[in-house]
Amino acid sequence: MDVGTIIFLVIVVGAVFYVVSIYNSLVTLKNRHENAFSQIEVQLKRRYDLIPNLVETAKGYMAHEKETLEAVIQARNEASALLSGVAATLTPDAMQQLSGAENALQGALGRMNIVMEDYPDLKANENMMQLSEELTTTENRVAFSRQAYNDAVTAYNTYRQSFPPVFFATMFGHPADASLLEFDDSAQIQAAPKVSF
Amino acid sequence: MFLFVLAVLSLVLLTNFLIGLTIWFMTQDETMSTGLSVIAQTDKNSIRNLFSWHNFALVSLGVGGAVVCAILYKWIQLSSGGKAVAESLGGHQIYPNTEDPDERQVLNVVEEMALASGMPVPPVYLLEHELGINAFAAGNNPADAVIGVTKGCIHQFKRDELQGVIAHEFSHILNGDMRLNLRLIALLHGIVFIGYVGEILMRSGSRNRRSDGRVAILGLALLVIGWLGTFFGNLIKAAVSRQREYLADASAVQFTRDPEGISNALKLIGSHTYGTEIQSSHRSEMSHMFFGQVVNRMSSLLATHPPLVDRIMRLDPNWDGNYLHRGASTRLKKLKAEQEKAREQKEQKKREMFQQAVITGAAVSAGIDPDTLFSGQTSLDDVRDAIDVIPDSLKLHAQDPLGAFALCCALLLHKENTLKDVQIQAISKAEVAGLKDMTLVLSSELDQLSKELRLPLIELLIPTLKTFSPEQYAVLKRTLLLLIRADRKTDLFEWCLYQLIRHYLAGEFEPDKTRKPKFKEAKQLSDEYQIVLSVLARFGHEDDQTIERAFNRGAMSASLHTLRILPEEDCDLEEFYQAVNQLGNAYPLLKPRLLAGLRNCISQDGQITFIEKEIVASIAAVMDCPIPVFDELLRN
Repeated sequence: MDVGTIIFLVIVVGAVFYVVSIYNSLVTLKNRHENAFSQIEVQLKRRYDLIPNLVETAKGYMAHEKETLEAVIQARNEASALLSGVAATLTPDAMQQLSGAENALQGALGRMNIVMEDYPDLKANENMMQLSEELTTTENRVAFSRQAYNDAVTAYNTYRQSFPPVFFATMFGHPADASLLEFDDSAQIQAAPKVSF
Repeated sequence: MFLFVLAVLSLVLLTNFLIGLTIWFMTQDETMSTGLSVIAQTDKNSIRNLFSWHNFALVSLGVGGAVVCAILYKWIQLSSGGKAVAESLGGHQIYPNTEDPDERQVLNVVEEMALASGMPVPPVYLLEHELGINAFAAGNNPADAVIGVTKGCIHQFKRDELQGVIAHEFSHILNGDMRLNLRLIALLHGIVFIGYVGEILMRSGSRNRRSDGRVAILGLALLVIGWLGTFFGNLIKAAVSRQREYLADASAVQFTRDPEGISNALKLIGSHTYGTEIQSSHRSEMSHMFFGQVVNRMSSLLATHPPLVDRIMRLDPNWDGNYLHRGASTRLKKLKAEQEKAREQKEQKKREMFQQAVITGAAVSAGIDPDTLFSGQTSLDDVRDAIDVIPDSLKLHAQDPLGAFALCCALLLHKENTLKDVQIQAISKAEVAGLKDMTLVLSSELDQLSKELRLPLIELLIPTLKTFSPEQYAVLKRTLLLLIRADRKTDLFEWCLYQLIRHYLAGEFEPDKTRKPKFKEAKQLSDEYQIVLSVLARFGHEDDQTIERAFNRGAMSASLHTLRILPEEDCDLEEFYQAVNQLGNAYPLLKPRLLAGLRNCISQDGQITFIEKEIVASIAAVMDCPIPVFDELLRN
């Protein structure tokens, strides 16, 4: 074998390894963002499990605010039912519905927080303090897991679209970009708040 | 890694050159002093000799070996994992069931940050006696990393500030800063070592008249290399560390998407009386892994962290230069009052929670074995029933570390007085204050406990024993062995107790030693299986016929059809223990079959006593084989 052949072989082997590494990176990134998605589900579930406890504790102190509490519970039940539906079929439609229910729940919880301000006893209650810490952390976890999901999706999409993986991605079964989490009220979120005097 | 090897190589070369030079000067000196005329020729020869490849290789090998040994020593010493580091700083782990609101919050924040950075959740350590505001991350890779916080840190910070600080620590782990620092420290130690050798040479040289100062000169040269090397090494290490701090601050913002949290944390540190100072004696060695500067240095060149002002300015360019002031932990005061009020209520709740914890504890945290072994479908109810019967006083002792230790001892105490005295002496040898008295008290309580409840009681102890430090665990193990050996023989119950405790706690305290499976076929273990089964059959059944039927049934289900039961005099317990150990060397897929045989054997007479369960559980523990042995039985 002369030197030329050897160099040629080395280059071929190197190229093969490079393509294999592209394939593996695609697989890794894909699984990572899929895992990130299931993390969101885990955290949502945790929140649904937590809310009944919260309401139960608050009930004793907030007898007059029955409506607020019931609204929270109802919103929670709806969202919880939708979540189990979404887990079964991951369609964009179901996702939309879920985030709608999530928004309703968010609103109900927000109202409850405002009402709670009027009950210093309740705020000082040990259980309530624990629960509100739990609720804060759960809200944060939901937010952070969404953030991690979006980060993972971005990493995947960027890698998929970059050169040279862009040539191989479709061939290796990664034909489309993964979609970032979107909220159906994203238009409202993005609109600048109007302040009028 | 490449740079690391390069650094070691240049170190070796430099020293080599220096030693060669010194020796050359020395020989030249010698030739002059003897006053020979053929100076020029000798000179040339000696130079050539000295710089021959042979000499060069020899010196390189010597110096290189010594330096590499020194580096490796330091490396091994430091790479003991995050847990060891946190404990050497005086930290203790915050357990997930903590009730302290501040600790709860830290745990929650750590879990949130783990989600945000996509890493496994590390254990959290609390440095209880440190009043400065600081936090650290230790461990060489995400798997063995830990996060530590000081008492001041969890009391002073608000939630978003804590988030920023914890995110900063996470990014240290994620960016591999621990590994980088480990390399730098180990390398520095190599250089320090050269200086150290130089110092020794210089001392011995000045004391020893005969070599009149030549060795001392060599020593001085080495000392200077070591000293300069250490100095510049430290400078570089500090500079690298400072850059990594900026990186970690930036990553913290990336994880939390909130620059305010971490910049407020830094501003608060600026106004705090204790600042970020740490009192522990190991502080300077670990200084690079903390959130803020640990030791106040005069020179900014040697600081491991950039100045606070610079860090804040990078996070918050519009900063007006005012630090945050927060009253002496008003949050703490409020909580204190709150806790005082709720104490009564809390005690009550604690008892209830303990009940629950005990049930899950017995079923879950003792490992996988107990619940799968004894329960299957009706698991929790069964365990709950058993636990309900145990008196409350014992349960309370089981959740207290000293009480748990004492209970272990009390379970092993003999009835007979002479033996008991020997054992009590063994207990006092453990030098744990109050242990002896507690054991005696508990032992009288245990006498009223029916034997069936001993196994559930041991399982109650496991979660508490798991909180022991490694030293305490060593004492526990030693004491238990002394107690067991007091009568010079090990009976079945003693063996079971020791094996169960050792098995469940080994995962916490002892390095993982995986056994290599040796036996693929049940036939290869037939002798061992024969004795184990014989002991078991004789233990649980009365008349000869049932014993033999139980034995045969067990042997059949392990498909060892040719086995015959051993006569009673051959059922030696020592051999039984060894045989069980041998069974542990079976291939994983064989183990369930062997255990199924044991299960069938003890269920021959239609009833399984707790003691039989105890033995089979211990055998399964020794065999490292968590399988649902009693599943079907319960279903029937």
